[in-house]
Amino acid sequence: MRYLLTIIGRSIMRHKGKTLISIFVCTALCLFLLLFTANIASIRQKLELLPSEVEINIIVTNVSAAKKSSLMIKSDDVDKIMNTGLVNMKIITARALYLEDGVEPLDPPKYMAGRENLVGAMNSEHPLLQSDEQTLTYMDGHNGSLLATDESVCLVRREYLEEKGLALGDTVSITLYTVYQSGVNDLGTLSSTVKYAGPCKLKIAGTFESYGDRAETMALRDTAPCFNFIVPYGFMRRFAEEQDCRLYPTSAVFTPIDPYRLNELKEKLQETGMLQHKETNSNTGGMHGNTLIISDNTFIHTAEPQQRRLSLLETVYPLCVAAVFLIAFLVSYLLIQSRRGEMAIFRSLGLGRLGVFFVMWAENLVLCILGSAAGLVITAIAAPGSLQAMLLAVALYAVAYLAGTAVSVLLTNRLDVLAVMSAEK
Amino acid sequence: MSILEAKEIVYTYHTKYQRIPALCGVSCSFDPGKLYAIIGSSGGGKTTLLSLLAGLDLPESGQVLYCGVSTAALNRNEYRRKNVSVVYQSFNLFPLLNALENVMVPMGLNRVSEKEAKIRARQLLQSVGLPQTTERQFPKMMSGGEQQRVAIARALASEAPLILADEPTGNLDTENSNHIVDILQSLAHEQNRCVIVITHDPGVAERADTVLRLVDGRLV
Repeated sequence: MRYLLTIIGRSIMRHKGKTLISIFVCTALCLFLLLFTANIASIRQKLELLPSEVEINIIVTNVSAAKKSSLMIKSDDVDKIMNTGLVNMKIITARALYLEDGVEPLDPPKYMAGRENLVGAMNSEHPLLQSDEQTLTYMDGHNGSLLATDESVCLVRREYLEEKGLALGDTVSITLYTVYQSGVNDLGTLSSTVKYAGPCKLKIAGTFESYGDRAETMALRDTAPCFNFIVPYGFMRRFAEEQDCRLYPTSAVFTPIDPYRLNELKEKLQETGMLQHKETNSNTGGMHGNTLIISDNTFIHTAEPQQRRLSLLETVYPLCVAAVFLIAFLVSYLLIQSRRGEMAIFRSLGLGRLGVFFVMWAENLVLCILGSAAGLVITAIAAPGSLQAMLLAVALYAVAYLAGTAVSVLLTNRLDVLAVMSAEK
Repeated sequence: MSILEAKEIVYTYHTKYQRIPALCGVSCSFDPGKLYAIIGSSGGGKTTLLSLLAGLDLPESGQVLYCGVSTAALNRNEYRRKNVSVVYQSFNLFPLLNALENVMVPMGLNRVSEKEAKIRARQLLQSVGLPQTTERQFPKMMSGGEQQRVAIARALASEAPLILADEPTGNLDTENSNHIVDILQSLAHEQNRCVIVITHDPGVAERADTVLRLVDGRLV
């Protein structure tokens, strides 16, 4: 074995022209496959990053879009959407009304406008809150994650806190009333019903400054919805269930877990009956209720061409590997043919077919390794990408190349020794 | 006892359209210490007989016996490594190995250490009359006679008791041819090897101990 390796080494060093040609071919083939792979990897990476760059929102909205109607979403609908298993809830808010302790309720309870509103939210993202993180403060030991819980805690509007002489950590007792959409009145607008839910105690865990308080003009103040409490949506839902009341969210936005399963998601949403054509009011013919708007245009227009290109490249990739095999076979066959004499000499000296195969193929192995290294270095400089993908491409190239050369050596190895040796007779 | 024996060997070449009988029941034996010449016209079956005696192929029927053992029963690669060496008309040296490295090849295949192989290769080159200056020369730098001497030295490297030569003087001038035949004779008579030469050259046949004539696949 050691001697054969010596022979291989000498052959590589002394067959200068053939060695250079072989290394050039190896490098070119390896580079070809590497760049192809880098291209595929680049597109895959773009598609992977696309959901984080282009957000898809599934927004629950009114079908009628009548300006004066308030959006009330049946919590069953929210459940149906969540039960598809293909969405994450991004924003959900619900509104309730409250009376402070000691304030007698009107009989029957009526819809009350003004500041006696309470909002349940799962995070501070929704613009309805019209607060941002800078206007939110939390008690020690609490942060924005408290809205994701179902604890009996609240954030209080700063002006209200001062007005009522309350402080962080205090507990407020209020009576909650749920608000839900009860139907369409004679005027064709939505009507709401207020229902007594029950008393509850909330611990003040933070404060906020509402948009209304920050508005520069009275007109803006008057139009901005105002509420004194923000509570976790989970608390509102739990409380409503405990009190056997309905809770109707006022806004809900979802995001698909896997944007590339949008079609599957749309099929499932179709079953909820909420996925309607997002046309203007005139097309809804006065229909009422909720519908879903999926803002997927940008994503689809960006993703689809990339996916088509990726699909084409992935289809062609095996053909490229086959081409490497074929070219390797042809080049090595032509180069090895010129060395039939050497192969015949080895055979006549007693080196078996396997030994001759090893000598010839091992030379190609060394050249393949040199070509791979050169190809890798060039690709790393010109088109750097995932190391794993590059190594996989090199492995595929090596297998194809060495298989091609093996076949050519095997075919040439079937030579008639004496006929070759006597060829110049 | 004969070192090599051919018993009723038959060999036919099969092409796409015809069958060409090359040997038709050839029987002969070869003893150590003798120089044999096999002569005959082209297409008579000489090269075919050589390939069967060298273990490069097996007869269709009949046997080639080496020391009483059929080559069909032997490991023919080992047989060619240790027991038989072949010298060819066109020298067939490795073009990218120098003279010394060419002679070392059979020893390398027989797992002789490089140091030992180098010493022995030098001795062999000297024994065939080549000066030390030819050691580092590549075949293309050497004359025909020098190349054939290197080929003979390589044939001796495995210390095989049987040496087959296929037209060893075919590409050489008279002077070199005589030198080569001198070497082959010396190998047979002085080193007790069995040397079998296939030749068209009547001068070579004259100097052989035994001449076998092969005509149309038969010994006459």
